[in-house]
Amino acid sequence: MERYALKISGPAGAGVMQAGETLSKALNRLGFFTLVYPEYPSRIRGGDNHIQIIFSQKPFLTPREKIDILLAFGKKNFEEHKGELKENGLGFESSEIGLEKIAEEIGNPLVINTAGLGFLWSVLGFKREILEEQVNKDFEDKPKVLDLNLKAVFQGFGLNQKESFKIETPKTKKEIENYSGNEILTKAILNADCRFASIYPMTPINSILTLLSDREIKLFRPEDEIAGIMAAIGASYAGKRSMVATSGGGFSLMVEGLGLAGMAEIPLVLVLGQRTGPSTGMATFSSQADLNFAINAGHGEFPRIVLTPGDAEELYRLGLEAFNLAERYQVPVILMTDKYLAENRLSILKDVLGKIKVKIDRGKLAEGKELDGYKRYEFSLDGISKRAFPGQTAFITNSYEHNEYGFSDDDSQNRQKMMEKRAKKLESLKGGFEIFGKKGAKTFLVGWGSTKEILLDLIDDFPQLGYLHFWRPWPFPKEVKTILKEAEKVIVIEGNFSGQLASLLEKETELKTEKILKDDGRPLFYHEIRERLRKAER
Amino acid sequence: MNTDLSTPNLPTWCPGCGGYSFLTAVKKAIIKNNLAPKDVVITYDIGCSANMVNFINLCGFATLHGRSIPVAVGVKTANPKLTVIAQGGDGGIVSEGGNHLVHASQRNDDITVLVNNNYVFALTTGQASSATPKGLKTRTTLQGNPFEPLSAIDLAVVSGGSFLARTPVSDLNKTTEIIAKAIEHKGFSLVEIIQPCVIWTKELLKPSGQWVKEPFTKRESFLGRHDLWGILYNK
Repeated sequence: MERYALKISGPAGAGVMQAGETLSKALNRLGFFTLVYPEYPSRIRGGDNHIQIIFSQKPFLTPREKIDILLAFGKKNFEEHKGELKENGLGFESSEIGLEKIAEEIGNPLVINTAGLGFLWSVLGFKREILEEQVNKDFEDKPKVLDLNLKAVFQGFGLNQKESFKIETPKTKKEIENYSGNEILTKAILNADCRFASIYPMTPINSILTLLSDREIKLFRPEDEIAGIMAAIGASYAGKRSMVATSGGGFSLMVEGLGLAGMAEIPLVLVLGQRTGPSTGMATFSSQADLNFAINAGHGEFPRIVLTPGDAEELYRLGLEAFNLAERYQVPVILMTDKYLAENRLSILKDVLGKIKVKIDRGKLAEGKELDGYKRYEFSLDGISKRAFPGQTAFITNSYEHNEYGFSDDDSQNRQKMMEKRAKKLESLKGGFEIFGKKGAKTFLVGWGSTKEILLDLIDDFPQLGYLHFWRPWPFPKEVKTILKEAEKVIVIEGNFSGQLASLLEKETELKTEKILKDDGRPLFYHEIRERLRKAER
Repeated sequence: MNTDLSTPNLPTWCPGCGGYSFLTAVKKAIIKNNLAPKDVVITYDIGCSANMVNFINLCGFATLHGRSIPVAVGVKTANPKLTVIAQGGDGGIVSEGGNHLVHASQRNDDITVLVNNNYVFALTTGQASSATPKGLKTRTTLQGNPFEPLSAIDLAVVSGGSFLARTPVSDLNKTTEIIAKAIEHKGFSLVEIIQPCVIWTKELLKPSGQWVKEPFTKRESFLGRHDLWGILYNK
């Protein structure tokens, strides 16, 4: 199935990101699936913001190194990206085609991006009305500028006289929705009935904070990430579903809180949006280098769950389930995304998310007579004790090792029993992965998190491959060994420098793996991964 | 209602420690305010006074060093019906948790912070803290502490706390009364409890101060006046 790649580039503040949203949604109206991949430096004005829009009649798309069409706002941006054009690709620079002039005539410099969209739409050979419908929708709350933008579309569309792609539009009408990863996760957070979120801003989770700001949730804007996780622990202890969201740097600060949640058995959902580290790293670029950190963060040993969703549907489902898992097992749950998954705009068939129903399960709760002589950390067969909340009865919660009542206790036997109790809680967890592609394939690809769409796109073209995706790499599902040991070659593909999942897999299964790694902040491009796979398969 | 508030555990503090009087004052204040133990949350720091988590029967939560304030803020935000108190020493509230003190005070979060100031890191065997008086010899300031002490009240003064008080732990009645009023206060309340250590800061054991007759109208009026006792500010 044909995939097309467009790139729009401009200085920060030129409206490149908004253009990407409008254009991809207009393409969805025609029945195309889209992927919008934004790339931008850490600045608010100037520089080079660019987005890549990949569209096709098939879902699961991968960014491309080579593009079909480039639209750049300004000569500098054009020079930066013209080398990425395919041999027969078309490149346009705003002043050459007259976009600035249109904006000037309309009397508002901000409409230049919409004029550009009108132009691109004409180059693509699509009907103007479809784009106009989307512009109408995008500006329905801003009637003052709607007309100006419609005018810009009209005039931009009219600028193109000759070049035009002949792209076949989908015959069957599909209704397609289009969200950023953070938008999907925010939906899940709200639908999971999370009542408390404390979030200190940090790329790439910032839009979760802004999206939650006008919603029915208690939003705490903490002085630092330490206060953030502590307040969320306090709120969860007081009976409300609670979460924090951060990136690697903030998570570094939160680690002592992670241990507290583990020891005191406080349910907590921690969204970890990875970006390129170490330290400040490349703040607005993606990475998958925090898997080891998420699995091992904290001193001492305590149970935790690590979730690594890879696409829109999985992000939503695991976003909902994270809160159930946290409360059912009374453990911290780390839900990992990355800049790529969080800030890309993903397209899915309408109602896919709406059909995902996860019933809210708050786990074992003490009621009525159980509150008399209540023991917060009572021993039980599955290691899970009933929770009570302040306001129900007086009880002790403790970061020190404690006895069943919660009182501090250094006794050797008690310590051993408490360690066993906490470790036992996750013993019953099963699954955590999904298999795609050919059954019994000779070569198995293995990935986790945001590489899922990329690898699904790939195996579409290489049906001889098997593919195992981890959506919950911790606790590690050892049963994957029975599947992978049948393959002649296991190739782990991940976005870090050392091969963190590969090491984990080798340690847990004693299987040998080959690695395809990338940690330069950019996603695995389609042709790049094909080429590297060919080498690894040799 | 359980008006005893005791647990099966006896306090483990040193003989003569101010902790005993502090424990009694907190119990009496809770009873005085007619609060049910199930509706009172105390988040504890880590340190000598924080060991109180095991000695008083209510919703006690031993948190981490420096972090009793943000946990308390989360509890209160999640369930505003609860009475929420954050306990900590000078090490936890002023040194490790100074950032949280300043910001909870700025936001005027509706919690009560009780600071047991013994001027030193006591449970770790007597190292100087940021509240150690200038010139005091401790196990880590052999020539005398070179710095002016940081005061929790001063930090709250400049950041905006709406109820600020200081009381010597040796005066059980006054301490009880002030803690009870701090708990009743709507908004951020802070009580610094002067509680010199019987082991590490013996030389400070007889604190001298001057009781104020009524609260000041302006916070700046008592900035830096660490010798003033009583309710210094109540808005």
